[in-house]
Amino acid sequence: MQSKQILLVDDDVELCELLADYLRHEGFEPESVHNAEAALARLAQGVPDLMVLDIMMPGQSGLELLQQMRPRFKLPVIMLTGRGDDIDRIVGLEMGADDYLAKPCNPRELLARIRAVLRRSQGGGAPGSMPQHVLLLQGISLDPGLREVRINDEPLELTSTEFNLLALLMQNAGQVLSKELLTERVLHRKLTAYDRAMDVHVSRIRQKLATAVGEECDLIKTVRGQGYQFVREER
Amino acid sequence: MTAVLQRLQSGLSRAMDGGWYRQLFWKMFLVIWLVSAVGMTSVFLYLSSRVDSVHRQEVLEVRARGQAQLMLERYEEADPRWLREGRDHHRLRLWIYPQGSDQPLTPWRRDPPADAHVFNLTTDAGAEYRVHVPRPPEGVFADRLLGRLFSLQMGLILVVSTLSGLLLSALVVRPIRQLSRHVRNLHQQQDLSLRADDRLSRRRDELGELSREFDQMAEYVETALLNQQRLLQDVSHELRAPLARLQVAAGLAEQRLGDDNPLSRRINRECERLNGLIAEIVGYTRLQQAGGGADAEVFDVEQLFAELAADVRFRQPQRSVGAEVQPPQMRLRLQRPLLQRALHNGIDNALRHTPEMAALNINACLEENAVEIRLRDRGPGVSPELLPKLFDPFVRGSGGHGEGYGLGMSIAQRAIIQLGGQLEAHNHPDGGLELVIRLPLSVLAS
Repeated sequence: MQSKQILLVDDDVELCELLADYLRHEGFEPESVHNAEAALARLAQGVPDLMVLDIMMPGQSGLELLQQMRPRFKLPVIMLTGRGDDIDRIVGLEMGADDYLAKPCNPRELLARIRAVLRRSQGGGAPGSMPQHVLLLQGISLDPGLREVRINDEPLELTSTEFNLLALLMQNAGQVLSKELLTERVLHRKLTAYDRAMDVHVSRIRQKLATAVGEECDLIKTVRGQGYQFVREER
Repeated sequence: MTAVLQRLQSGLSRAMDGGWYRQLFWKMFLVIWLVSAVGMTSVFLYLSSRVDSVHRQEVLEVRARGQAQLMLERYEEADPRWLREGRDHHRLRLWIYPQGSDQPLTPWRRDPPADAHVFNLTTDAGAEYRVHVPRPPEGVFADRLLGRLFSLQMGLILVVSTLSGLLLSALVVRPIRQLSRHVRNLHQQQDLSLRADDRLSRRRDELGELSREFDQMAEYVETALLNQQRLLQDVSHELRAPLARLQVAAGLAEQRLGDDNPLSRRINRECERLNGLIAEIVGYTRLQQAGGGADAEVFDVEQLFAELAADVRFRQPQRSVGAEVQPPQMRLRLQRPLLQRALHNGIDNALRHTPEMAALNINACLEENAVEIRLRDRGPGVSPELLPKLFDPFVRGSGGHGEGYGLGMSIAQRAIIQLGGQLEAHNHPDGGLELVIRLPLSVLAS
């Protein structure tokens, strides 16, 4: 199997060197750049398998870079945020980062996240977690083959994580899915303490659905203390 | 008018409540009132007695002159009754001397009293005489004084001195009150950017100067605190980069030494500790700066409690957590991350310092003038010596698991203060520590 290319974007040169050493040892093919411009230039030459992006960089911040590259490059992104910067985290996830990790972090944890994100971006999910046919519920059609969602025949732009999450919820419409389960199946990792990633993804999908439908959207319900549920059609 | 009366009434009742004799206002009022009343009264009494004696002398002279005139006319007409007439019909006893002579015409045996009033008289015939008339005895002094004290003038004096006393003490005390209210706001609201009222600091007198000095002091304290926070924050930020490198280096060492090498595990654990400490310092300093960065949002309290309970279940599955909200649909409008952080830190504290079997309860209810959130554990409680220091930074309870940095509770308190509320801690009478958060009713979302 060809080793995965990982682009490290962080202004801390020494940290990049150490991380590259670490990842190389784990069988990846890391490469580092130290500012947003260099990252864009590197991406233009060819898209790596995954990007680890530091949010706090002098000059153009990681969030700005994320915003700029998102329409053009669809590679998975793990962002490194300062600990306690909840806002950065939420904004980052909303801008299409796939996962986040507080920096400084244990490299082992970073490695686990990298593997999880890579797994989900390739397989599109664990076997059996993806529906086999087009789902049509409440006027929303979800095509797992084309990875496309349409509302009233209008396509809806979703990130890959959001798509997987919506697919899982729609496939199990009427059932309450716990945050643990959703995190494991969609983010391919264990739920950790104070983990709000899933909540952010769900609220993002809700917003997008609401804008598409043009009214308040309560298709995805929060079941307090239990998890989330896609509302089944009433007949 | 009614407004003025109401203010007066409230001022009076406030004055009476708070040991009125201790208040500067009443002290000043009393002194000014006493001094001005006593001063004005004595001046009044002195002047009025002077005026009185001049007046009586004039009356005496007019009477004596009339009588002497009559007597002398008869004397000059050689009417022998002149003396008798004078003695019978008039009470005044006069000594009449021809001008330039020491021999009185009047045949009284005694000489006139030394303090007798003396005046000259010229008769129609052209002869000049000198008349001595003794002053009548004055009335009893006390009677006259009493009469004057109950006069209209005295009433006016009292009114004027009362008014001037009130006015002067109000002039001095009101700005002082304003200033003290301002200083109280300064430390109660923890907002050092507050400045004294413009009208106060624009004054050109000593009070204006005082308030400007206060402002300068507040400014100094504000910048000093800001600098301290900035330094703390900068240091923490700067520590993060080497720590991140250290962790990766430790990871590299781990790759070489093998996963379960105790040395690399140890290094990792210490890194985590450093990391946690830095994160807490950054969080603490950030909270010191206003706002904590988040906007107010409307949220359901039960939902928040459910999330917190889920976090507890995640960390300590054995722990029982009870959450109750009264009324159940309570919704608040505030910076949710701040409240969440405070509650989280309180819970964290409980998880760390109480056995896993000790239940945890979190309740929210509406009190008369506050939204009250109580977080109670069933652990051993906090020793009385530690209790007052619970919210000080870097104060750690003994018997903890050694993982805390002593910042959690200070952060919690900061967060609640930022929300305009209060956080208190006490040992529950039935055992265990209870944290009480009181938020103003204005945070209730309708």
